[in-house]
Amino acid sequence: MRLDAAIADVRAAETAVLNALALVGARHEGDHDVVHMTRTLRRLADANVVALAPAAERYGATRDPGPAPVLPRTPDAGLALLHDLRALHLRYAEASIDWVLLGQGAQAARDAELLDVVSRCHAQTLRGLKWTVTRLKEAAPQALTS
Amino acid sequence: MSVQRVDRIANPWGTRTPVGPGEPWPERVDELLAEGAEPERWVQTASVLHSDGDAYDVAVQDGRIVGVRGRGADRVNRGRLGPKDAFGWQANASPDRLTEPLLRRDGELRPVSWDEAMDAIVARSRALLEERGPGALGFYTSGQLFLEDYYTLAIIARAGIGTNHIDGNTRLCTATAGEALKESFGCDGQPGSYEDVNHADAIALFGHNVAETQPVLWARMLDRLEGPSPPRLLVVDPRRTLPARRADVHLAVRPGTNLAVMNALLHEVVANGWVDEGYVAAHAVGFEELRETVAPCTPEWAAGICGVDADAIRAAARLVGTAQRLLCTVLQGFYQSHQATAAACQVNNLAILRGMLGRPGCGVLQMNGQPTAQNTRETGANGDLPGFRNFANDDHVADLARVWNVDPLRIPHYGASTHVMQMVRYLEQGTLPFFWVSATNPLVSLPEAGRIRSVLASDRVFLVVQDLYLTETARVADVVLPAATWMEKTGTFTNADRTVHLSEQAVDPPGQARADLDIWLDYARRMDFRDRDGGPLVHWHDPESAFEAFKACVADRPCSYEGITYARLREGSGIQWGGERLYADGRFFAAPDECETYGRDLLTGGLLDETEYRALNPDGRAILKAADHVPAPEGPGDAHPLRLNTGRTLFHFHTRTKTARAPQLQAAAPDVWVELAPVDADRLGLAEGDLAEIASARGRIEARVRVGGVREGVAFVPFHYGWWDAPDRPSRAANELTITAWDPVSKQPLFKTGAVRVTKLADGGGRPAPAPTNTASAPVDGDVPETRGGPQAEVAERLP
Repeated sequence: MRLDAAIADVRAAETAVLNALALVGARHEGDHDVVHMTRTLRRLADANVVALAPAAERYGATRDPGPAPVLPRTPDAGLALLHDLRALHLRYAEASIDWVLLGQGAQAARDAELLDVVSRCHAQTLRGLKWTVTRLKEAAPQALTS
Repeated sequence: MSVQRVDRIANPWGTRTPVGPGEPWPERVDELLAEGAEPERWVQTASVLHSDGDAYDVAVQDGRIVGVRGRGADRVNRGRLGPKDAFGWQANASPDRLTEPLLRRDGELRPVSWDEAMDAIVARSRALLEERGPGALGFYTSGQLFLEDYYTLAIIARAGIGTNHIDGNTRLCTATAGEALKESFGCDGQPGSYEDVNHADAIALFGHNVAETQPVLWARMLDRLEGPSPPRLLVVDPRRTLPARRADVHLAVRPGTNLAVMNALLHEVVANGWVDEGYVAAHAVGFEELRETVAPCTPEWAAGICGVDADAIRAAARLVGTAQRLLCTVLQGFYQSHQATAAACQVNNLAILRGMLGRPGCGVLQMNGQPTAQNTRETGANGDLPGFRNFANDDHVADLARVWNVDPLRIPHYGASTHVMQMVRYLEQGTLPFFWVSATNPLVSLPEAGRIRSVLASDRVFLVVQDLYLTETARVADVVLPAATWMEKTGTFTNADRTVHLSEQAVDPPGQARADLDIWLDYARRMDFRDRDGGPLVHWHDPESAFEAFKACVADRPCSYEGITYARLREGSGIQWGGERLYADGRFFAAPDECETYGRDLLTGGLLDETEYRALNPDGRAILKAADHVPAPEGPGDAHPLRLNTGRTLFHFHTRTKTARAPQLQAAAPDVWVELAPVDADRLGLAEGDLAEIASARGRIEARVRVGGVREGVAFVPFHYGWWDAPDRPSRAANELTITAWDPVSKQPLFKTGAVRVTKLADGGGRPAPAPTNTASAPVDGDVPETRGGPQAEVAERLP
C-alpha cells in the first residue's frame, strides 16, 4: 500500500498552491481582484489540506510538504502578473493531477471515505485552476501588445 | 374624473388608485406647468432619471421646455410622474450648460472650435493606433444616452478602432442583472413584466428599494397593497425602507451576506417540498448541485451570518414558498454587494424551483438603475457583443462581422470586453493612455475616489469628456465636448421591462452643443473607418437610420426589435420587445449554439468552455447555479467597526449633475448625511444633526448624522454628493470611503460592502441632518421638520 505517498504528494502540492496564492496576492496589490480572489482561494486550499488530515493520519502520511516555492520576479507589472499567474496555474495543475492519482488509488483500495474527500477537494482545486486560466486570458492581450 | 393638486415632494408617489388582482391599473395623469406657461405643443418622451421608463410629454413654448404631462395610454406609468420626472427637466435650461468645446492648453481648459477639438482627438487616436495599437484606446459610456448613440459607439470602438476596451457606467448599476440572467437563462433578457405586479399574490423585493429607485413602480405596488386581496410582501434590505415598513416579512440582513440568506431561503423551499418538481424536471438543469449546496444552509446557520432571526427567515421562505403567483425583483442591494451575481442567481433559482416564470404574476425582474441601461446591454456598449452575441462562439462573431461587413478578426473577441475597473488599472499602469468618457462622472461615481482622481488627472492619460456640464471629471479632462441632452435630440431607449420609448427633439441644444450621435458620426467620418469593401463602416446618418441599422444587427437575435419603428412609437406609446413576458413556454435562449455565454463559476468568475456547457446543458434549459457564501473582502474590525452601505435617495440621480439643478429636488435633499441606527448613535455619543467624520482605510468625509432606520452596525451614506457645488469643503463623496473590489462574475464594484469608523466632530445644535424625512432616511426623532416642497412642488393629478 503506497497511498501514504500519494496523500503526501497531494498535501505538498496543495501547500505549494497555498504558498503561491499568498505570494501572488502580496506581489500584485494594485490588481485588486487578484488580491481578493487569492484570499478566497486560500480558504479553499486550506480547507483541502484540513479535509485530507484524517486520511493522512490513517495512512501514516507524515512526509513534510517541503519549503515554499520561489517564484522569479519580472520587472514589468503587466508581464509580472502573467508570469506569476502562470506559475500559480502550474501549481494548481500539479495539485489537480495529484488528486487524480490519489482518487485512482482510493478506488483501488475501496476507501469510500477517502474517495469522497478526493472528489470534493479536487473540485475546489479545479475551480482555482479554471480561475487562473480565465484571469490569464483576460490579462494577456494588454500585457503582450500594449 | 377629478383634478387635484398635490405637493409631490411631500408625497412623491401621489394619490392612490387602489386596484385588485388581475385588474388593469387605472390612469392617473400627472401634469406640471411652469407659472403662466401656455404651451405651443407637446413632445413625446420618457424618463431619463431612473430605469422605470415613465412615458410623458413635455410642453414647449418659445423654444423652451415649460412643463410635463404623463402619457395616460402608456403601459408603464398610465400617466403618472415620479418626482424626478416632474421636476428634473428644469436642469436642461441651467445657465451653466457647456456651450462650446474646451481644449487643455498650458494646463488650462480653453474654448475652441469643434474642428480644433475633434482634430485633437483624431490626431491622438491616429498616433496611438500607429504606435501602440487599438489596446491603447478605451471608451467609457453611460446608462443615459440613447440606443442609437450606444450602437454607433459600439461599432466605432469594436470594429473601427478594434479595441476591446468599451464599457458603460451600467457596470455600476445593471451589470449584475445582465450577468445573472445570462448565467440562469443562457442569455440576457428581462423575463418579467410590470404587469406582473397586478397579478401577483406575493412580491419579494431583494435589495430593491423600489419606492426610491422607481417611484412609479412603487405606486403600482402601493395600489395593489391598498386594494382588495393585496399581495404578501417580503423585503430583504439592511435599511427600514418604505417597502420594508409595508412588508409582511422584512429581513434586515448585514451588508455582504445576501448569498447566505438566499441559500437559506432555498434550503427551506427544498426542505419543505415547495419545489415544482415537474417544472424543474422539464425545464432546468443543475438541481442536484444546488440541493447539495443549500443542504447545510439552515435558517439557524444563516441567522448567525446575516444577523437576522431564524424564524423570520422561515417566515420569508414560507411566503415565497407557498405563493401561487410570485413576483421577485432585485436591485442594487444585491448588485452592488458582495457575491452579487451569485446572490442574484439564487433569486432566479427561486423562480425556477417554484415554476414561477412566464405566467401572469409569476416573474423575475432583474432591475436596472439607469434609464437606458438596457440598451448598453443590447447594443454592445458595455461588456457584451451587440445583440446578446457570445464572444466565445465563433459563429456569433462571424455573424456580427457579416452585419458590419468586416473581417471577424477586426472585432476583438478573445475575451469579455474590458470592464471599467480593469480599464482604470490599465490607465494606472500607463498601457491605456486614451480614455473617452461620455455622459458619466467617474471621479465621483467610481469606488475609492482618491485613487480614481490620481489616475484620471494624470498627465499620462489623454482624457476626453463629453457631457452637459463641467462635471468633476470634465474639470480634469484634456478635451471637453458639449453635448445635447434629452429633449434636445431624438432617439429611443428601453426600460427595465423591455418597453421601448421614443424621445423626440423638442428644443435646440444651447450654444454649439451637439447630439452625442452627431459627435460620434463626426469622429467616424474624420477617422475614415471603412468596411471590407471600402465603404463607410458607419453608414447611417441620423437617429432613425441608426435605429434601423441596429434592428438589422439584432434581427435574428433574442432581442429582436422587429416591428418596432419610429412611426409606430410615434403613433402609440411604449412597446415591449419580446412581448409581455419571456419564457412563457419554458423555452430559453440557452441552447449551446444560441446562448450568450457558456457561463462562469459563480464563486471565482472562471469561464466554462463550450464543451463543458454542451455537457451541462445540451437541451438549452434554465441553469440552476449554486455557490457557497464566503466572507466579504472587507468586514468590520477594531479600527473600522461599522459596515458601510452607500446608496441613493429618491430625489437625486447619480452625481446630481441634473437633479441638483432642479430646485425642488435639490431642496428636498440638499447635502450629504450619514445614517445610523439609534443604538450605534448612542454608543458613539451622536445625536440627530451632529457633524461626524466617517473614515475608512482609504479616505474620510464629513457629514451630519441622521438617526434613522438602518440596521445596527451599519452606516449608510448617499453617494450623490461630489464637490462641483461645494468647492471649498472637504470632499463629501461617499466613494472616498469605498473599497476597490468587484464581483468576480459581473465585475460590478462593491459599493455596499466596506468598513468605516464614525466619530463626532461637532454638536448639531438642534439643526437636523439635511436628509429627507419621507423616505428610507426617515428620522426616529419626531421633532425633525417633515420634507415639503410647497407650492412650487404642486403637481396636478387627474384621477379617474
